[in-house]
Amino acid sequence: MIKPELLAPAGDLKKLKIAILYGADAVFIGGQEYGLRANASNFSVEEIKEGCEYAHANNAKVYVTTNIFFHNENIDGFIDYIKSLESAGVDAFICADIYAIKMIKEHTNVEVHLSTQQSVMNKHSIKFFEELGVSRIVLARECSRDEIDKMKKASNIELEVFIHGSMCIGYSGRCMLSNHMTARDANRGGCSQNCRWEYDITQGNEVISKEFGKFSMNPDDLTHVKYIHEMCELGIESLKVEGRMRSIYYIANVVHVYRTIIDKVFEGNYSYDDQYYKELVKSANRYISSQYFDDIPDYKGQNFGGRDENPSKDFCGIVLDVEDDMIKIEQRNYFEVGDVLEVIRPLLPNLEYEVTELFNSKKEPITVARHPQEIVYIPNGIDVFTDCMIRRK
Amino acid sequence: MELIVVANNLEHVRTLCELKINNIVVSSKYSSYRQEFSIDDITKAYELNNNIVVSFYDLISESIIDEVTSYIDKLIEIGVANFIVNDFGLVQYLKQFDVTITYDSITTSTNYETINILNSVGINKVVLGREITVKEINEIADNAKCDLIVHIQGAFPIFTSIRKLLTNYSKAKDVSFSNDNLALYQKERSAKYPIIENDNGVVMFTSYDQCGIEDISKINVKYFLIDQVFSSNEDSLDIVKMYMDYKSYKLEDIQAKCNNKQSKGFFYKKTMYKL
Repeated sequence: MIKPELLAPAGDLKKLKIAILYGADAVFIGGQEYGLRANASNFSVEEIKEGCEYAHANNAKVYVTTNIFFHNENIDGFIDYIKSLESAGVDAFICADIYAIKMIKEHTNVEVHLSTQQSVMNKHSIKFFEELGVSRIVLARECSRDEIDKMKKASNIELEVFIHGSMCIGYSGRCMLSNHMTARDANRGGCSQNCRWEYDITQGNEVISKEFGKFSMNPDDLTHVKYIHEMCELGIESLKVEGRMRSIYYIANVVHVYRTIIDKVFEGNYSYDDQYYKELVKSANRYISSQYFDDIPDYKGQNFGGRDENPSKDFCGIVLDVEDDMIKIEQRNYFEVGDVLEVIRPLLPNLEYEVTELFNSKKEPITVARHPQEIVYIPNGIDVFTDCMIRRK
Repeated sequence: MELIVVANNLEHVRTLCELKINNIVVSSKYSSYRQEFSIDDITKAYELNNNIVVSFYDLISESIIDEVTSYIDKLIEIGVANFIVNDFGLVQYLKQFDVTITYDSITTSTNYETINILNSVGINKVVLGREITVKEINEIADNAKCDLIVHIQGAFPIFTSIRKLLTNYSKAKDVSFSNDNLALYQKERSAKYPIIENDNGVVMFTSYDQCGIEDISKINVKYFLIDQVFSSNEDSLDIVKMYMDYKSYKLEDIQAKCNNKQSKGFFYKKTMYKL
């Protein structure tokens, strides 16, 4: 059994460092151009270079998304861009468009991973892209356990599977709802998530949904937490967490859980514990469920109330520094004296902490930390360090 | 200029042949949003027109890939030599045969460099993505080395899911309804999007029929695709006749034949992606 890579998202340099600190073997990021999060902050070339240096110093890899489907106007400048990222030290590009694949193979020595935007679901399709020079396929999310197993046995190149994060409810790369409803190009990073909107179902002139409530194509988020050991047994080379737009807390928590599971599987002392699922729920902002691996999701995996994000308020703060007698925290959500908190520590078990005292940035006593990003202190009495995450127990 | 017309059924094929339409598309079992032509029907269609094109618009999962390639083998035995495919796995399989491969993903063929690479790996014709402008189409035409096809008439898919999204609603809400004539209505846009559910999941279509009869002379490609997915044989044939004499007709003339709104789609509307 080959130990799979744990691949995490990173929307900026801080998230990149958090992902690696919490145990990601590799991160995927977006540059200023050619990625599918056109309106995110994204990385400059200089930041990508810094990210690569940090990652490589910590035995991790950096993959850059260049997975738009190109229009004519996107062609100019791409070759210079990929060359600049090769110089910055990126380990692979994630591509969807065949033009991008071909240019990277011709003009750089960097690996190419095929994006899930191509919705690859069979062995012949894998072979097609292998012949184009792709070294890894990110499979369509719609693949089942048996299908992944068959494809793995029939192919010679690396496979990557999504294990956690938001879902497209339609085939990736083939959805044009955003283009048709908002003139925002989904395949160039402009997706307006129209699948999560509310619709009426009509039949002729009759509105079927009038009596029963609106229709929506809003899916649960994905978690394959119950199946990680099976994915290891299948020989999948990379397990991917989605969420470049998510918070550092989400990245830390999710990576922490999957890192723990993968390591236990390979230490030979793994058995599934529902606590893993409960941990992941704490950083989720939608329902999370397993999808496709066992079966195609039914009505339980589809939410009919339109957009239903419910951001977690549990994340209380991040440890900025540890002094002799005080722990310096940047606040993210309300907490107060008397609260019982939990500290998530990279590669270590969580700790419980009761807030007996609280101090402001001038180290004056207070009872409540109520302002996002305010600096507060708590007494140092536990084994924590910089970048530990603190949340409500 | 040549028309490529998608046929509804064998009778439709016969009448299209009478109109001397040489490029007629029939839908395989694996173009599941279209009425299936059985192997027997495809054989008869081939006897009517040896140039018949068989379409495979579904993405193919590993669980049925061997079944699909066996099906293709049967078509090859019949003599079918023209295929439209959406899945690159089928491109890979078809490359071993002396056949014409047309690639149509509906959405993703949007620049000339990609199209030229597709041509270099065995694809003979490419149907361009529907969400690009006439200007972009002509830039592609100026630089492409293979035959290009533009979807000129009819509704087309804008969303496909393997999930049975309507059945899910039916079960969640404990309501039953037939699968006929269903659409999703989006209030803010006053737009109705036809939706079909079958064993393969759901396909959602444009709220309009693409109609390029006034634009065809401005587009520098060889082939134009007519796919009147929601029209009867009779209405579809009337529209084909108009396109055969396109200089004499306007969008309003086609609108008069159709219930669906006729639109120029993205021919003059550019999409954006950075806000």
